[in-house]
Amino acid sequence: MKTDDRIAPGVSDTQRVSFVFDGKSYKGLVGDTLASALLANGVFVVGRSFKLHRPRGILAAGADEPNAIVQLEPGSEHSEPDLKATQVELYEGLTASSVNRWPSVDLDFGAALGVLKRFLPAGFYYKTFMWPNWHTFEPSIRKAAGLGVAPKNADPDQYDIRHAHCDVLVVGAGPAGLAAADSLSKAAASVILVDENAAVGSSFMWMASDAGRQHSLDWALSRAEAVRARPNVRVLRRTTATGYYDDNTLTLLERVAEHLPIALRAGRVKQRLWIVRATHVVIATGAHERPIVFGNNDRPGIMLSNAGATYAAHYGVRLGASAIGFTNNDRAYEAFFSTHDGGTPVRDIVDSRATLSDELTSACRSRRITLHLGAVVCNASGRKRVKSVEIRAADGKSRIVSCDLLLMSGGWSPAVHLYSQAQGRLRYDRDLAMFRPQADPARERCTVIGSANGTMGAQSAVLEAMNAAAAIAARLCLEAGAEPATPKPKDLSDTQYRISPLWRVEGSRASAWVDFQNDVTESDVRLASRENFISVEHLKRYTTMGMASDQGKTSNVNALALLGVATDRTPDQVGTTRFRPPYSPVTIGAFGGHARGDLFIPRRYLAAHDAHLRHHAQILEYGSWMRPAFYRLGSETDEQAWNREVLHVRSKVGVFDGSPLGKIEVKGPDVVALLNAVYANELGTLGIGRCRYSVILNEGGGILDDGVIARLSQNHFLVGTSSAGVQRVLEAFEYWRESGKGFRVAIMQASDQWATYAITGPESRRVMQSLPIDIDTSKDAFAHMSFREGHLDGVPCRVARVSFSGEMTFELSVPAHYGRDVFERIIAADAVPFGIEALMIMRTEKGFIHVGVETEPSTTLRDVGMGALGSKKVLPFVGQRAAKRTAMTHESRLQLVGIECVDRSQKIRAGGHLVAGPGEPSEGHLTSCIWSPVLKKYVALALLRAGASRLNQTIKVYDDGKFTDARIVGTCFLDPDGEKLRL
Amino acid sequence: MLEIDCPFCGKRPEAEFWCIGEGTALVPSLDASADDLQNYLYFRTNGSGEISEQWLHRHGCGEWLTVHRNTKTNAILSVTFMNDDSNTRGRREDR
Repeated sequence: MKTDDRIAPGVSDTQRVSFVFDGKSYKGLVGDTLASALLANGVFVVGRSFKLHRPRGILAAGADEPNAIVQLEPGSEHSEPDLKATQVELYEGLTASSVNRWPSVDLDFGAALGVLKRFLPAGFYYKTFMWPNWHTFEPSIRKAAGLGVAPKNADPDQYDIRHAHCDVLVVGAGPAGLAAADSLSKAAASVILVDENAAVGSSFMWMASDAGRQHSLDWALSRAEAVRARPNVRVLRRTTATGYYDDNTLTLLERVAEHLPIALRAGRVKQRLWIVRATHVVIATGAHERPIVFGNNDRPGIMLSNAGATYAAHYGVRLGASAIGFTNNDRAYEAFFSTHDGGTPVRDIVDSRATLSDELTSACRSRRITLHLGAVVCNASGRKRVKSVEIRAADGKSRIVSCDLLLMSGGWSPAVHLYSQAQGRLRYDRDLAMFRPQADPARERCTVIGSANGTMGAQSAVLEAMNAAAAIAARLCLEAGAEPATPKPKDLSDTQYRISPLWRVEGSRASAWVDFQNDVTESDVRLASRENFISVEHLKRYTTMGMASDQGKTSNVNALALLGVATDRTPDQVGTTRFRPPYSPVTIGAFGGHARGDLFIPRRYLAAHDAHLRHHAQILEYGSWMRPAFYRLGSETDEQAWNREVLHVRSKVGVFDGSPLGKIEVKGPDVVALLNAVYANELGTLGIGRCRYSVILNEGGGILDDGVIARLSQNHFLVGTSSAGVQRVLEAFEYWRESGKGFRVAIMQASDQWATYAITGPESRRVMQSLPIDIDTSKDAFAHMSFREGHLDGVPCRVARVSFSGEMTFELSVPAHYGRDVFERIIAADAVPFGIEALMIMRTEKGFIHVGVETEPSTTLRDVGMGALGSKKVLPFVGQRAAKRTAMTHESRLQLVGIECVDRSQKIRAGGHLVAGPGEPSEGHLTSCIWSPVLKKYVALALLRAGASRLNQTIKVYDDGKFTDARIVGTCFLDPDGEKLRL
Repeated sequence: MLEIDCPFCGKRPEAEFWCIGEGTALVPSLDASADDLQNYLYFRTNGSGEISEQWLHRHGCGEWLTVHRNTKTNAILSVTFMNDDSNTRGRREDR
């Protein structure tokens, strides 16, 4: 076997690996792909086509492969579906299987569908399988569709995301990319060079003839080593540039560990997603070879010429005994000669053009290759492997020639995906029969070079790259470095690219394939045009061409050209479909990186978290906060726990960790004006050391957030918000402050700086007085809705007497790093800790709203019975005018009421709907519902149409098929006069 | 991932910002007509081409910014502080 262990560091015949395909064991080389290893072992049938289950073989040698779809590590937790064997690097112990066949790829019962081929054209599911009901057929059709098997377990691998910046990102390390990276990095640009293959050199791998090939490979290797050695260069191999986004942001997908045996991957990430911002991007992504559309062109053993040459010359595979080449262009000859010289004899070349250059003609003659000019291959025979082809000469006479390999080349299409994603425009070059980037002086930040730009010869590509690099360096104001300029290469392969378009071979009776993976034939394209799907985007969706996992790399241009033939248009008149990222499929896990499981979102912990755990707190996630839902004593059930907490707090004293509540400090000469402009209620009249319940509306007049605002001094207020709403309120403050003509106010969020503990209950004063605080909390000195600052054992503290439970409460705040200690001191003073469940029970018993639960974004102050708040205010505030709209004030709006069952032993739940009776429409719903351990029955708050005018009426609660008789009552179920707050 | 040149922080990626779209910061007065209110609340030019939007540098300096952006090309023409009196449509000065 021939080897080249210089450019391709893995392909050496001293390192063999074992692998299993479809249950059989084989051997391959390190550096092989699964495809090259299978071909080396004579395995030609690797799959069955999607619709008709025709035997299929390997067509290409890269991301453009449509047929060799495999399931990797089937049945294991690492099982991965729908990978292309041409991109799977071989490792010791690899196991893979073919897909879409039963019982085996060699004997597939699905092939019987071939009989129905006439009834399964493109779009058959729009016309057939309709009667009596298409749902009858749907499950079977769905089951038959698809290729691989989706894994059922969570992805066991780790992924990583990294960000990087550079002066120039060079995509592609073929002749052009290497030259550009070399020149640019010499000029001291920071360069990132990426290539999707394991080895650099790209098209050099299949280029012709021993001498020229070796010279090219030497040149590429020396450039690659020079580039890699520079400190300002990062080379990423096995890395695909998957998308080109705004402002020169690109994503790169690096396959970090997939080439290693699974056992050696421990501790490594499998893939890494790079998000790169480049000042300039150089696209050197090469070109994709097109198949030729002729009868039975999908037979195993028929492949693209560059693929055959890559397998023969680079991987050293003996592909067959007798190959035929079929082409319409000059460039394919390099591949034919490379294949021939690599050990797979090419006997005949069929060229659709009438003439050929002397140079190529004599090169054929010296290799004893029979040349058929002006001829075409119109049919191929051999079901599991091509065994002969029918060649039709220019005079119309046909003959059958036997072969076991056919290398075809319908021309080349520049890989313009990334360029197009960046809004680059294309033009159709009639001479070269390709869509190429259109030179656009306005596009300053992206340069396309090499065969991606239609520059097909290696020598020309390298010179083009060096010129482009000089222009980019000048634009980036880089000085030429001390190193000598890149030596201009001599005598790299540079055959002129001459082509004569051959979009299809006429006169084939057999089906001719355009999109191999989705089984789309040339007659499907004509069908689409007959059905008037003549826009290229309609062609794509109707026939599904280009929609398989190869994303049309070998089919898009042929299909659109054939649509042109059918509708009398040229390819540029048909146009291309829109290019969207990713360029090739990306595992979802790569986009997640490490943000999975516990790291999915950042978790926030309370300062007293350890203390809560010590007191048997049951911690749950509330937004991003980890908070005690309740505390379990002994073997209490959940309900026993929170009911015990409520009863204890209402009769004695408890403590609640309210640290996540939002706290925003607002200070400055214009603070009252700003607060009044933003909040609905009047704040100028708030006394120093006093608190006021306040509401901020959204622009539509609905309630945005509520909380208690305290006045610390003439020009200093402390705004309290809900835990979830603090960011929203802060941003609203900032917005309105900056919009006004100079509010002189400083705004600072202090939520995380203070830990807050709500000491709650009739005995809360006793607890406060037992702590070493220098604030007088006696009844006369510290009334309800007051605020004081002082010290607790020498540490600054703040105390607000506000209540969400209806019991006398002192909210004690200390700097957060003292939180745990203070919490323990409060517990030591016999306050029992209680959690969110107990608090929610108590506030519901009192009818206090929880914004977002009792309110929807359009719920107004009037709706929740607070219409008086801000009603007298003359100065404009946010939402004021909108709240006065007719639709926001009419009588039959959803209004807040209380609901209790007629039969107190009945159970109701939040979410239950309020209806007059069975069959009647919903008139509202229960927003909060709890079992009150004080009242020993269920009580609820609800939004009900015209609720304010329906007190004492009856209604039914509908929940999951059950109707419960209920009564509409006021929202406050306990202590309606608030006596417990005046202790 | 747009690159936005915050006047305070310099060039930062789009992910640090929060866009609320076209808006003005003028609260309609109590005697504003229903039409004026509807326009303020709901109607935007939704232009194809250059529009003016408000962005917040949420994970940066926290400033509210006025951004002139071309909705067809995503080119950003200027970024200024929202309360900048020189907030007329025009080219951003090079920093």
